[in-house]
Amino acid sequence: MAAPATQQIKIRCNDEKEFTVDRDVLERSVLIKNMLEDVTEQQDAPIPLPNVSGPVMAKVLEYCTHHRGEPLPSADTEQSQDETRKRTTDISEWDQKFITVDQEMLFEIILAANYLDIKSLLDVGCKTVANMIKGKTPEEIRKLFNIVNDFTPEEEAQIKKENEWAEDR
Amino acid sequence: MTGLLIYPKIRHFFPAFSRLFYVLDILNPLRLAKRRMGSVGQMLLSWFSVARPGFLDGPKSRLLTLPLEVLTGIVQELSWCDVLRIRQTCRLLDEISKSNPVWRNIARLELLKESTMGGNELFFERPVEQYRLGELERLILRWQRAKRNWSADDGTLPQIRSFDGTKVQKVHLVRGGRWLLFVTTSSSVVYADLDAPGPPILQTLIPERPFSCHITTALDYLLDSDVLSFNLALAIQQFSCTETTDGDPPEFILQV
Repeated sequence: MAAPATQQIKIRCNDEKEFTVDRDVLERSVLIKNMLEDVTEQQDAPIPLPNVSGPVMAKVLEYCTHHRGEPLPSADTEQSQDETRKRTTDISEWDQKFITVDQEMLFEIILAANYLDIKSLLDVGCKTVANMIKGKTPEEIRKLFNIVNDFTPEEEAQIKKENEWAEDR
Repeated sequence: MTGLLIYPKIRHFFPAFSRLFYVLDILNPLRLAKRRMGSVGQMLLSWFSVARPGFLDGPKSRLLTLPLEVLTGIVQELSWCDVLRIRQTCRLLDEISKSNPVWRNIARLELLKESTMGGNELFFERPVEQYRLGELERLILRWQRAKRNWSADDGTLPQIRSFDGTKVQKVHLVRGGRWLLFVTTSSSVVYADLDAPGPPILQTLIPERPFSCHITTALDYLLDSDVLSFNLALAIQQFSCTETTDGDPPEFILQV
């Protein structure tokens, strides 16, 4: 059991940074897992990951290493994932600490998780952003994420009117 | 004199330079577009950038540059109040806040919440996946609004509906609040769809009886069904009879 688990895989990020990682850690990424399954013979050339930079990959690998060995959500549960994901609304303590990064890094991690297809990490990222939004006014949300208000004044007044009933408690 | 010597060399390199500029322009599609559009296009573009400030310049919001499915995933994590707030920030988020996955999730969460808390319940006639765009949002927000108005003490009047010319023996509001069943004095059973726009229209479910009678009714919901379904039991008691012909209720199964 232990022998195949120690297989080492090399990956190369878009900034030429290379990592050598245990196969089971890397296989948290469904993208890489599928790539590795397609390749039958041993390859020495590193897997190129043109959409991820070294610093972000280091973060992602930290996550994958911590969660290695946990069951992966299987592909055929795609439909119910929607559902199950919402039932576990909390972020674990470790994940919480892990994802306490600046906004730029947070979005980079989300993009990498999306690209590498690491569902649980993507969830943690999305939940973290959602938590940042919760309870804030539209103006506060705009400020936080640098969102430009692109409504016309009439539209804005209209949309405000439509939704203000939810505010008075 | 040296200038003259160098000049032909610059000319010689010029094609290469202009190619370089072209490459740079490809990297900057907006500038290329501007250059190629001419004055009308420029005017349109400047109008566009006035109408949508920040379209051309300014730091882009990293949040808004995330892929659409990821953004939807984020909005899916929000409660209905937060969804109503985030839709007021910009057009893109407004659009996403109306999408079906977002409201399906809210519906599931509300259902979970209601079922663990007991008390008032939000009720869907169908599985949430079967609702079309906008329907779930309308139902959930109406429900939340009703809950607020119910507890508000500002004397907000509830909606009043009148059903003219109907002599009613019994009324049943079917679970979920959409269907109202009437048993009339002429022993017919009619129903109204309260969600339909305009004045309520009564539809006949069971036609009138030739004799006048007293009807006792009961509704029995089929809880294990995916769609709203119930049995309506009617116990009919004729007035003219000396003995009460109670019991033997004819049973109807209705699927609404």
